[in-house]
Amino acid sequence: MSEHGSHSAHHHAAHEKETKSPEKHKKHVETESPEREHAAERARAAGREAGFPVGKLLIMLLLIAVILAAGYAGILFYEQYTVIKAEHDAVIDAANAELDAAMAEYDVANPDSEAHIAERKAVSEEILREAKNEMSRMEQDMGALDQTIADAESRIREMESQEEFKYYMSIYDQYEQGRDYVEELLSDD
Amino acid sequence: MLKSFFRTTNTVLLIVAILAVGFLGYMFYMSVCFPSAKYDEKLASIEAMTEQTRQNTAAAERETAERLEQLHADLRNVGPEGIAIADSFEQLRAETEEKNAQLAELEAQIARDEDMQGTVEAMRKEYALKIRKLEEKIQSGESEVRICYWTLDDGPTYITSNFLDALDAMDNVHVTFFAANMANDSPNEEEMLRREMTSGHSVQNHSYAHVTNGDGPVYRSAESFREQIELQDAWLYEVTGFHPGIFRFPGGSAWGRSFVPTAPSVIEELGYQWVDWNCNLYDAGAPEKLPSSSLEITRAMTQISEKKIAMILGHDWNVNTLVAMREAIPQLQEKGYVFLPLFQESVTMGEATKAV
Repeated sequence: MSEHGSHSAHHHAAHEKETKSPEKHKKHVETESPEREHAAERARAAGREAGFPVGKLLIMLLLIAVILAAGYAGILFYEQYTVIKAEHDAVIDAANAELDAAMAEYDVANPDSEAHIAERKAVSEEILREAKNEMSRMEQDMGALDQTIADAESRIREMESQEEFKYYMSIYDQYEQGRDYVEELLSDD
Repeated sequence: MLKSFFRTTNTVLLIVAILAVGFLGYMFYMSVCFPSAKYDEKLASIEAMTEQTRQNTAAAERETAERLEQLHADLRNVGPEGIAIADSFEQLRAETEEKNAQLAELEAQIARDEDMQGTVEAMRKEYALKIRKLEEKIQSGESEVRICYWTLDDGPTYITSNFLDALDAMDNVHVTFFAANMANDSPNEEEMLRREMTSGHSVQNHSYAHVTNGDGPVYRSAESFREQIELQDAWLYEVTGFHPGIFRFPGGSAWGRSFVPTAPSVIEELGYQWVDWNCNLYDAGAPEKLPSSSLEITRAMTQISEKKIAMILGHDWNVNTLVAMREAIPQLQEKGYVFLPLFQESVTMGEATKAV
């Protein structure tokens, strides 16, 4: 029994000794009915609920701590993941680039390409055309060259027919022979 | 009220906490248990494709080379036009190269012909430098050759042509004429000077007037002396087309310097050198220009034989000199002498002759 119940029983016994009348007894019985007790109980519960909910607060704080810890750890793992993923992506990108290059080389080398065949034919035709043009130009140049040579020979003949030229040429020949003669003398020693 | 707030907040926080733990779990899985195998598989696939493509490329290149070779063969087989053009092209190119070379040679010849004076000067310099080299070898004892610079002063004269005829008759014999315009009258002086040049002899400066006395135009003063050299230089240039570079004093340098002590510096200022001689034929002694005696010629021959490099003083107006020269030159040739013209570039004997 609770302290409160013990106190009520004691109070009840004392009250019986003091008043032995049926009316008083009846009145007292009426006062301690189940309704009244229930009401009293509710009043006591209400009193208890009127205090600060410490337990709920602790739960809330715990949840916040869990959220923060999990979030932080998650971010750390996320960062680690992004680094690893970037490395792998780079390897894949490089491999793809190599593949692209290889395919480009293949495109160039592929003899089945009609464009390539046409290009080669065009190049051959261009070479032939260029050779024709060049030959035509060279033939023209040859004609001009022949004329230039003829002019030069004519000019030389004209100059060499002059007496003054013959005079100088005679001296030149003499000096040239003299030089060769002295050269022989030098080499004989 | 407060109770309701806490209830709601806790519910929300619980949901968030569940999500956070879920995020943590996912990230943990992704980072620790990264799906490398998936990547490796993808990488292997790409590399296999690359390798296959490379093999295809190599095969394609081989095929291309074969096709190109075939194309060239086809061009040669079914393209006579191409072959003809190629052949003609090559032939034309060879012809052009040949003609260009011919033209270059002709152009060089034209350039030489248009500046014959320069061409002759250049050849003369070559010749003179060879002679200089020979002189140096003789002086250093490296060569047994003997040089005779036979000089003939005071021409041209009425018998210069005889001298030239005699010299022309001998092989590789060239002399030096120290010409003086007024020394001797000759009806064909200019013709003789040009003949001297065309015969390969050297024509040098012996003054214009050739007056040897101290009050004459040559040695009257330094100015007059300079003028005499310049006048003769101009005349010789006008007649022969070349400036001489060597001066010989009328009467010799000792005689000339006794009147004009500054004469050597005047000569140097004019860009000339000067020479005397180290062998003298003594063929200018007689006032009436009579031939010297054979005794004097013999004495001169003895002098010559003592010299490795002899510079003979003679005169082309003396008939006896002409006779002696005809006899002496073959004799001297037998003794190892060669007869060379004297040029400015080859006068290493200049100082030696000045001492005589």
